[in-house]
Amino acid sequence: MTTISDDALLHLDDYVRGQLPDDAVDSYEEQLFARALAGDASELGFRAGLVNAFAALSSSGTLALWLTKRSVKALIETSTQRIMQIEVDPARPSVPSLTSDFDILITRIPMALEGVTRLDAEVLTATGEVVKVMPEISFDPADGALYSCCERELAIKASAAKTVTRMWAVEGESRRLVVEIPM
Amino acid sequence: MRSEVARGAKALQPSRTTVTEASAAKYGADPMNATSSPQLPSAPGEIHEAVLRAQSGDRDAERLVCRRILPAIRAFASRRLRAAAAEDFAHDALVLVLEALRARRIEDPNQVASFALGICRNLARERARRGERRDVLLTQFGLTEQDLVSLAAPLEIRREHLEDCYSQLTQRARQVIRSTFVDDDVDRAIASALSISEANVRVIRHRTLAALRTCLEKPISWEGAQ
Repeated sequence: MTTISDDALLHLDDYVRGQLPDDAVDSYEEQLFARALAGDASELGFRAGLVNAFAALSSSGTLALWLTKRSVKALIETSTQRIMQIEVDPARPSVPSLTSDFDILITRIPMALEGVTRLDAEVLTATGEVVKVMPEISFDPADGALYSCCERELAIKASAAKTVTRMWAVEGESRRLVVEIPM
Repeated sequence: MRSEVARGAKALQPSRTTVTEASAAKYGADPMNATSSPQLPSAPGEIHEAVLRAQSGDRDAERLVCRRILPAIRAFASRRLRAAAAEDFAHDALVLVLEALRARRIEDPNQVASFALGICRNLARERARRGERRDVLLTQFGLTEQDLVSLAAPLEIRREHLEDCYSQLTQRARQVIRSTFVDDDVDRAIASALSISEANVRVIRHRTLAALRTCLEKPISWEGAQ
C-alpha cells in the first residue's frame, strides 16, 4: 500500500504555492514528473482530491458545519439542493428522523449564548470516549441558537451514533459547560 | 512568494472557474488507502512498455500514460496560474504530449516524463507569445474537450469525510485552508486578511494539510461511535 508522506505533501504545497526557491524548482519538477509517471506521486492525487472536494462542499454551501441564522437564511435562498430543517431541544433531545429525502440537514439548537465569545463543541460516545472536538465554532449570540449544517451522508452517520454533545464556552484558559445534549 | 510574477505565463487571465481535477489513478474507493490500480503499471519496465504500446496506437496504453502524467502537469500549471487557467494550460500540455506519442517523437520511452516537463516549460514560455493551439490540435485529432476531461477519473476524497475533518480545525486553520483551496488567494492576500505574516500562512497551511491527511486516513468520526 502506498502512503502519502507529509514531506511529499508539503513539498508539493510549497511548489504549487510558489514557495520553493527558484533554484530548486527545476530539479523538483524533474522528479515530480518522473514519479507521477511511475505511479509514485500519490500526493498529487491527494491534493487534487482536496481541491475537488473543497470545491464541491463550497458549491453546496456545506463547507462550514456551523452557521449563523443569517447564513442559514442565505443558504436557503441560494441553494438548489433539498434542505431539511429540524430543531433539537437540549432539554428534551431526541434522535431526529431522517427518512425524508434531503441533501442538506440544518439543525437548530436553541440555547442562551449571551456573553459567549468562543464556543467549542465536543462529541463523546455514550461511554465518555471523545469522538471529535470542533473548536471555535461559528455562532451569533443574538441568534439564541446554534445552527449545524451537514450533508446527508454525514447527517445519517451522526444520527445513527449514540453520542453526547457538549458545548463549552471558552474564556482564556478556562471553559464552562453551556449545554450537554445526549442523543 | 507566490507573486503574480511567479504565476508565469501571464498571457492567461486569472479565472475563478473550478478545476476539474486529474485522476488519482491509484486511488480506489478509499482515497487514503492508496493501493495501485490493477490497470496501471507500477514498475519502470511496465511504463516503458506502456509507452511503446501507446506509440504503436494502443489507446488504452495512451490513456494510461496520460493519466499518470496529468496530475504532474496540473501541479506545474497550478504553480503558475489560477484554477481555470491552470486547467486550460494542462489540457494544452496534455494534447501536445498526445501529439508527441502519436507521432512517435519520444524516441526513448524512459524520457516521457522529461519530455512532458519540457512541453510544459516550453508551453509556459510559448503561451506568453502566442494564442491557443489546442483547438486546432483537438480538431486535427478528432478529440473534444470532454475527451480530455474524461481522462480524469473521480478523485475519491469523500465530501462528508472532508466536511467532518474540516470541522475539527481551528478557526484560523479553516480560514487559511478555505482561502487557499476555495478562494484561490495568494499567500500575501491571506496574510493581509488575517494580519499574520506570509511565513505564518505557510506554517499554518502545512500543519493543517498534515492534520487533514491524518484525519482522512481514519474512519469518519461518527463511524467510531456506532
